[in-house]
Amino acid sequence: MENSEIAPDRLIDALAAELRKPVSLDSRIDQRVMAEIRLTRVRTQRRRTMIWSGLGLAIAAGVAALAVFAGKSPMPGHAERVSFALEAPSANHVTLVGDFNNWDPQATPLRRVSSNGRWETTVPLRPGRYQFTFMIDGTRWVADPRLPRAVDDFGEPTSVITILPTARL
Amino acid sequence: MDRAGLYHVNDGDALLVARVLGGDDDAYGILMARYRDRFGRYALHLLRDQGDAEDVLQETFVRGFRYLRHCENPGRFGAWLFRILVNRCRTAYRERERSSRTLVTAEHGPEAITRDGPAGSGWREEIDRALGHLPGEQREAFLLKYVEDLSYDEMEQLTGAGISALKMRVSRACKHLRDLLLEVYDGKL
Repeated sequence: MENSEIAPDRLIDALAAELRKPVSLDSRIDQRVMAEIRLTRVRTQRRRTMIWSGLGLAIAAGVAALAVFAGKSPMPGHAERVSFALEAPSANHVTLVGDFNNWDPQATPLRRVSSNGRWETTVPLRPGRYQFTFMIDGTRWVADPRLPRAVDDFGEPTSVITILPTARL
Repeated sequence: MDRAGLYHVNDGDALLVARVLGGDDDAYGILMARYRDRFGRYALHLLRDQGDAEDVLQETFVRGFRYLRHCENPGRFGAWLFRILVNRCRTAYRERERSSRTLVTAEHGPEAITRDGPAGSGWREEIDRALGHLPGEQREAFLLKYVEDLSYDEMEQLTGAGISALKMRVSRACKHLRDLLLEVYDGKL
């Protein structure tokens, strides 16, 4: 028996039976969740449109210096176009998910830019600290090995990128 | 919803997940209806605060929607979402513990609950008070084992703790609860 070290106990059984009874919860939770979901759909739609429009305008202006510092994101400052790239020769579809796009797996797709499986995208980010990861074919999470790691609520590894303000003369 | 409904493959859930991913938000409402009572019960017993439990439950469902594409086995949507819930409950518990520092820790040890407790308290209320005396890890392990009816393997996957540690937590939780509730239980019989 798996829990043989715990003797059968009527008190514990009675306690567990009591705790299995239904509890009363605010019935408006469902409505609030559905409202949030619909809002997420709208935001995603808008964001996708904006990002694809932006990609047509600019080739990456380069990544600002990366460093580790404690800061909230985003911080005040001009948005820089930050390039994200991944080598994934066998992937059919790669997207970028992070706190800058609400972890929306549809918001920021990468495009294959070479026959050897290099995928790229560019995202405008203001100075700050961000967590992100790549998602391959809608299922695999791949963190950037060159960047510091963090772990999300699911125990999945994510990368941390810090964008410092660019010095402007 | 019984244990099998949560941890066995559920084709109905898989279909609903596919519909949500295809843009059908109402399908997510059906999934929520399937799990809200069970998940809410767990959150309420762990956090012992109605508002906190409802906040965590709402946040869990929203996150579940946003991360739905990461659900590798849609037939086990319930188990996948339960993992999110357990993690959110842990986070909420720790945040509250840090902010209030009023929760009893293992070092303090529980004091026996007697029938001289709060006026009018019944068996259900005494149970709630007893749970409140358990350290968070013991409370979590007890609820997962005895209320959610998970196996130790499932608990290990869910919590990241080793099976030996989990058995120890459950064992200690049971002992504390017996010590705390024996007098009330005997009087109830």
